[in-house]
Amino acid sequence: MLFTSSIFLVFSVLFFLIYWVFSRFSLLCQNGWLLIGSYIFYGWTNWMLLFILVAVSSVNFLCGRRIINKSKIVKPILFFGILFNVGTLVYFKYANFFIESFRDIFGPSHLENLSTAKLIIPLGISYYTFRNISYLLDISREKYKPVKNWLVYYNYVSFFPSLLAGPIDRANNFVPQLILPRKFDKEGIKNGLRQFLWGLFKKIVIADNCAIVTDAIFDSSNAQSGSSILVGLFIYTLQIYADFSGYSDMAIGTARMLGFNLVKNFNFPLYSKSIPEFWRKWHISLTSWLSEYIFTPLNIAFRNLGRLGIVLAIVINFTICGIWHGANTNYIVFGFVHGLFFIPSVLKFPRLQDFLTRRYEFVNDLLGFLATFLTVMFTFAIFKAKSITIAIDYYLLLFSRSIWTVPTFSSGKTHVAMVLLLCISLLVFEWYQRNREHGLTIHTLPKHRAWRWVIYSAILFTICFLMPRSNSPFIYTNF
Amino acid sequence: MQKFLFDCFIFSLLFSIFYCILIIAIPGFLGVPTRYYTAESSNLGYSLQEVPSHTKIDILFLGSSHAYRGFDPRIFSEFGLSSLNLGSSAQTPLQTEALLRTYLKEIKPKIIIYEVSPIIFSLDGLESSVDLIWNSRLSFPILEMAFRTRSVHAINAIICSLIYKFLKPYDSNKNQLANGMEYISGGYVQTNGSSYIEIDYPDETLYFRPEQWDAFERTILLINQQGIELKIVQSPIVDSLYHARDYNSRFDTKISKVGFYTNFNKHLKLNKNIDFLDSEHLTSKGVQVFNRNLINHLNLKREVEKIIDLRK
Amino acid sequence: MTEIIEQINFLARDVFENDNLIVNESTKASEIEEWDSLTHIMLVVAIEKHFGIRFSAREIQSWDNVGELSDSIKMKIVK
Repeated sequence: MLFTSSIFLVFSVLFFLIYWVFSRFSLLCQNGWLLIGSYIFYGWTNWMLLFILVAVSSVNFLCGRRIINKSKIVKPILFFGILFNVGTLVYFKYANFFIESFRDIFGPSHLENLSTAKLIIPLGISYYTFRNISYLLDISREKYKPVKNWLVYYNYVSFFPSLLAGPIDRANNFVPQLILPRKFDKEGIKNGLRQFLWGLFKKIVIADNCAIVTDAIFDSSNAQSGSSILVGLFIYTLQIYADFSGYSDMAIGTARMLGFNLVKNFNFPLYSKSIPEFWRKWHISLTSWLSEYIFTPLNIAFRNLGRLGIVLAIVINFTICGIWHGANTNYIVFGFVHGLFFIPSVLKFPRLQDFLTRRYEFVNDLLGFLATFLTVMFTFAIFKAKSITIAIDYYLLLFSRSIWTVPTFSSGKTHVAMVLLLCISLLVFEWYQRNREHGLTIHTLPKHRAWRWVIYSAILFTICFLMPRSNSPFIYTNF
Repeated sequence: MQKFLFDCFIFSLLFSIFYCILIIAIPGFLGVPTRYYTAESSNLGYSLQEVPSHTKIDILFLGSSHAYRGFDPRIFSEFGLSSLNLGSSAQTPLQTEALLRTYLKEIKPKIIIYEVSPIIFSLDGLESSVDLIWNSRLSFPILEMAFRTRSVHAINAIICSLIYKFLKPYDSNKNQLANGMEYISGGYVQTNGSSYIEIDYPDETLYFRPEQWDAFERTILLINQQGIELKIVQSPIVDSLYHARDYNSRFDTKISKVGFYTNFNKHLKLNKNIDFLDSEHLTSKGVQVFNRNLINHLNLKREVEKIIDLRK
Repeated sequence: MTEIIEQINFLARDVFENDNLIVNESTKASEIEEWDSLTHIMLVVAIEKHFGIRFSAREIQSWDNVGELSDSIKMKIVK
């Protein structure tokens, strides 16, 4: 089930009502219904995927209980657990790669349709695998006690708001919230609904409309000019941001409506002044996961190599980050390249930095912002390309004479203009909200309910009007 | 919790009213053509009005513009075959299904000639949905179809059309087809012009949208269940375009599996300059050649006689 | 024990490049601006070199504040 589907609308309303009615009975009722709901949500598109989810949850639950035996860590069980999780993830991601290659032959890849080949790929496996691995590692480090109640654990793994696309919560943040009954808090729920609405807006109005333009530009890249690729990259950057942060907002908003507080996943990363800062604000739950379970252990292991050790740890960490995104060389390169961008920050030039920050703070900040944004934008070309050779083609076009030509767009100039306007508006609007929790946080909204309702209506209405079609722009009007 | 739910209910109510008002007030929006929300002239409006006078006919034609510009009931009546053409612009299986579920019991044809082409399976069907929503009586199958297009614009069209129909009942005399097009009773649209004009149709890839294929299979099932003879056909197009496609045999194989199918690109040799207006549509002369060939090839007269005998 | 804390303080001032830094038993990494995962490791390396000891990965990840760090050092020196 997708958050943007009409079935989710029906499901969430019914689920929400029953959930809060059950909360008046007992914690068991509340948690039981939560698990049922999560399984309905996950199994809706393909009930067979539920078997994998339940199997993985069970294995990890049992391992977790046996890792510590009479205050000794049973290493074989820990290794087995980690191997099992990594193995399932690798297997399905590689299987996914082969199936997608088949699907590309028989159908355009830009069309999203869960009822086709994606049947066989367990959605969300990257996310719930990481939840399980962090749980096992935390137990082995004695940072967390094994969960005794299976209902609580299964809910931790399968919590439907964050099941498909994160955030990746750790046991120490999430499990305590499962053990206590959630109380109906009107303000919290309204805030959650607001965040969900904002996420929905970003996903449908901004991300999906951008996708139409970027798919048109990047699918026929041979016929494009450097200037249209440049515009395409700008739009693509906003598209990925709006899509992913939108989904996270919907997940966090939904969770809040059920009384849960999830970790923040995006902290307005596009205004970052350096690449390290960007990664502290982008997909926070993933980068902090990698930082704790990959980077820090590597850093500690390489600590005697000085700055070289740090650089090595960072590069390996980010390469793994790239691999996590997909079984494709271009993702690996994307991660690797971003790892390299950390090097300047590691090799500090304190006097120079001090000088720049004190004397020319505004210029320094502005340059930092531009440099970071452009770097991110340009590296997304690797992310968007289906292979390294195609990415190289994009770069060749970007650094050719055609970058000075007037761009042409097969999806239509008006549409591209509208999309550009939306992207810039988003950047400006969220700039003003950057110190808030999310784009639609209450403090900046008018106090009187009537005005707030007008704003919500305007947003909903815009979503309905600007919702793009699932067709490509080539509409046969004469047909 | 009760107060919160009450607030939500009031908000939803107010928003729905506000939404309906805005939908009527705004004829179109950036990037969204006007006809999503207000229907322009369409042949389907005329042809559906002829349904009450065309019951128990011999042949019903369905399909896209290949159908309503490619099957002329006057030619068929020369052979003593009564017919109605319910082809419409970019009609996809989702619309064909909704159309049949709404009108089939009334029309009761002996044979259905369903014109298919690769493109209809890859479209989302929004234009055709809106065309049908505006020009047909609203039925549950049409509501289902609007939902299945997975586009809020179809829902908007329903709201818009309901309010419009309430305020201003449909005026058949007001609508005019586009220049050079003439509506002929029976559902055929005659296009004036006899010379070939090159129109650039964008590249196509063969893609069967699951929801379209499912609708197609449901339509075939419905026709079979009603005991109606089904002939699936692919209209002829310009030779060079047809041979430029590398998926013709794949398409033919897939369609033949669900019913009696004839690809007329294989049975006709047409002249691009005389028989075609553009790479996809025939001139009146081309339609003559095509229709006569079809009547003979499918032995339609004999088929109809057989059905009449069976029913006795 | 205070001696150890004093030495940690001295090393920290060098690693974090802040001559005004003062840490005590209850100081946590989150309270000091310059203390992040990178500088933490640099501090650990400096401590290991200075005291001639070596920590395990588990020990490094187990400290909650400077006092616990100091305890770890103490145990290693005694050995």
